[in-house]
Amino acid sequence: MAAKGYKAAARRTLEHAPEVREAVTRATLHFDRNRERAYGEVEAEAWRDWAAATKRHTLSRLDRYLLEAERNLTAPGTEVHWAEDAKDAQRILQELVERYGVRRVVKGKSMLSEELGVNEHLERLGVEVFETDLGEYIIQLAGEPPSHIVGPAIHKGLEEIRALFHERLGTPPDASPETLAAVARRVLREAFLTADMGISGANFVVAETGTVVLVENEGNIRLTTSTPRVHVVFVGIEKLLPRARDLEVFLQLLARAATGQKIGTFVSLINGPRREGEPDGPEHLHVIFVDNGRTSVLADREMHEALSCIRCGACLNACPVYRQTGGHAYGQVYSGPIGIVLTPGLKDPRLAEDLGYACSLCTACADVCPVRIPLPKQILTWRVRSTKHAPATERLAFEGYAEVMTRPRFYRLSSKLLRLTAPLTGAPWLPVLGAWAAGHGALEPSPKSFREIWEEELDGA
Amino acid sequence: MPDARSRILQRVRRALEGRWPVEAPTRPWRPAVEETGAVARFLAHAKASGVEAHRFEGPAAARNWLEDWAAGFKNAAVSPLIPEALRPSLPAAPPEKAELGVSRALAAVADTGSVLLSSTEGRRLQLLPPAHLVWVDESEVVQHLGEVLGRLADDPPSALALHSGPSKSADIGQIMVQGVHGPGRLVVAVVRGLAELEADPTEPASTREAPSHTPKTTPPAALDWEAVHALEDHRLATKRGDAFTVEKVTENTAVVRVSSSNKTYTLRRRCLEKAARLASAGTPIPGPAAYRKLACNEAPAYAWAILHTLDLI
Repeated sequence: MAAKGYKAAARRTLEHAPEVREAVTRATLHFDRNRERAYGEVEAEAWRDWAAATKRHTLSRLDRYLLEAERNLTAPGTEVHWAEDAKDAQRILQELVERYGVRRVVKGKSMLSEELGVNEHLERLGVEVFETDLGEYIIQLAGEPPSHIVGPAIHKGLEEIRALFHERLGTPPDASPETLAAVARRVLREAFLTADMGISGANFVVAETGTVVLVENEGNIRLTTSTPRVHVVFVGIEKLLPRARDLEVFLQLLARAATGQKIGTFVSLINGPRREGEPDGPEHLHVIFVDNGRTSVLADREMHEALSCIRCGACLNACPVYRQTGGHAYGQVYSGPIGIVLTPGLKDPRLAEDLGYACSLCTACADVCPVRIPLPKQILTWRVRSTKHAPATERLAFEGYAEVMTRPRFYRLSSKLLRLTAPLTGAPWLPVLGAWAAGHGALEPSPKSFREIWEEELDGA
Repeated sequence: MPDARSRILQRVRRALEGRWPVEAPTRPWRPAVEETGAVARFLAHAKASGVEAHRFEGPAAARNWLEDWAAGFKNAAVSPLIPEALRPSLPAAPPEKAELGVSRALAAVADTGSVLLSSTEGRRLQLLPPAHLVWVDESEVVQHLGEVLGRLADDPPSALALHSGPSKSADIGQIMVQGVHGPGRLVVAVVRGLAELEADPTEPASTREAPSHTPKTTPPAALDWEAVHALEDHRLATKRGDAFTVEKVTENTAVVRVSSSNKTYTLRRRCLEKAARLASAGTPIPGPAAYRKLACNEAPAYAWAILHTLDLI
């Protein structure tokens, strides 16, 4: 997307698809209210401190924990692979598809697989791919990417989904949500029972035990990881937790932050491929550790904390900017506050020139983040960095502003000047103030400055 | 040429170079002490998440309820771990055709209203039928999630799962729909005396009903714990031939250390006794898989080897 990507896309959304704002606002406010209630039921502040400290610790010893996880994953027969980037990951997947003669894949929701372009690659290989999360299935039918980390289709209202199912699956145009879900269940049930490979992400990987942990509400991930004979896990290298006991807080905190539940309805704790004597389960389990820019974020001393993210979506739900447009306007896999911080680090720092301004610096995201990522500070840092590429006129203007604000005499002079020119600030034709004037009326300064009033009062006393 | 693995690890190390490692919180999270009993809390939390939760004073009461309740189904896929008395009298069906799946949970967690299920009994029967009935013994209901997570370190099955309600989704216009992929009904029955019934399934459930609030009496063990004590520091081998040492035997546990990996596993006396009892009652336990199925899930290869050494199975 072009340099002005977010702004232009946001305008398009608001002008041409106002129903998106309505659907997204309703859904995020609902999520956020539930989160707030759920935090209130427990010692959320202490949980968040503990979880943040545990994640920071894990990241500070990441090499050690990766090796420990690899050792414990391999012991019961899981094969571990390493992918530096999307190409690497696609190559590994292709090898597995060929090795097992895979024709049909069922997928559990995974943001990492979006990063890696897994679906597109499988389709190029002639493999049939079924997204099985109901929301993901809806947007797969619509040919769109997810717009929210947790609720990928929250930008779509019931009417739009009805029309989509009517067109693609032949349901009645006024079908109830139950009917629509039942139809999706039937289509996907068939896919579960005939697929050769299941692909999932991972919410956590426990280093101590080599356990892959997945959280969901529908049961589609349990099925994806249980019915096909091969299970492939894509996992970002930052998803590690040291000990099994750490899950006690993380499973509950994740659910409370994301949807306000006590725990995800289904939690899978996967320890290896099917064992002797077990009646079912995949015969082959492959875990692919993916870097894809994460080591660059880890090396960035002002951004590395963003790798603590557990993808709960709480910052998206709390963000007044996200609520207006939903995730698509960001033009990236990760949207909302965490998307603004992670995307330039994972992909290209220059993206911050655009994304850094999809933020009002209200700091609501920091108030809700379960692992206390300093998102507003990091967004501000990206803005500071992006000024290096700002046009010379803008840089000069801000340097001049700094000069004025730090010198009392200049300040007094310029405030007098402003008092004279104030009526002009409402004029949209002033090129320098164009964007500002679009959202503000003319300034109405008091006839005297505060200093003048203060000095007069002192004289009078 | 270095491979992707070493390049990634090298980049991680370079990124962390010169940084102080951040200390981990000194201990796992310690949850609050609860005043309400675990079973009552479990039932309340499970019901709040849409679970149909029941509690029975004994297997006979559970059996009575089951006969009525199961009459609403045509057929069922039943876990091999369920004792005869608590199997619904319905025709057996494969999970993809069954109307009802019946599981035996390893534990239940009050904090989250969850049941802990194991792949040992099969995963499809937990997921494919539209209704899922789960039996759990009253003594297996714990307060906190942390109390069951230790099982992950203890030679776990290929998959454990926590189920905490019916399958649901609000992905269609934020309207909650149940039964999207997994079971749309989750029914959990907490039964007093289920574990005893399993340990001694020969007696009919009706005569085994324990009067409420009397201490449970365990049938005499066929296993002499002193004999296990005597194995301390002995080197044994599993059926497959993996060497291990009986490192330490306490009042209720035996710790073994595997020679090749240097990993340790803790075996519970209760489990070993259960297997020995079953064997002495004539149930064949020819190997670790049978031990896992009939007795306990914990490190069956080593537990079986100990019992085999003592000529008990």
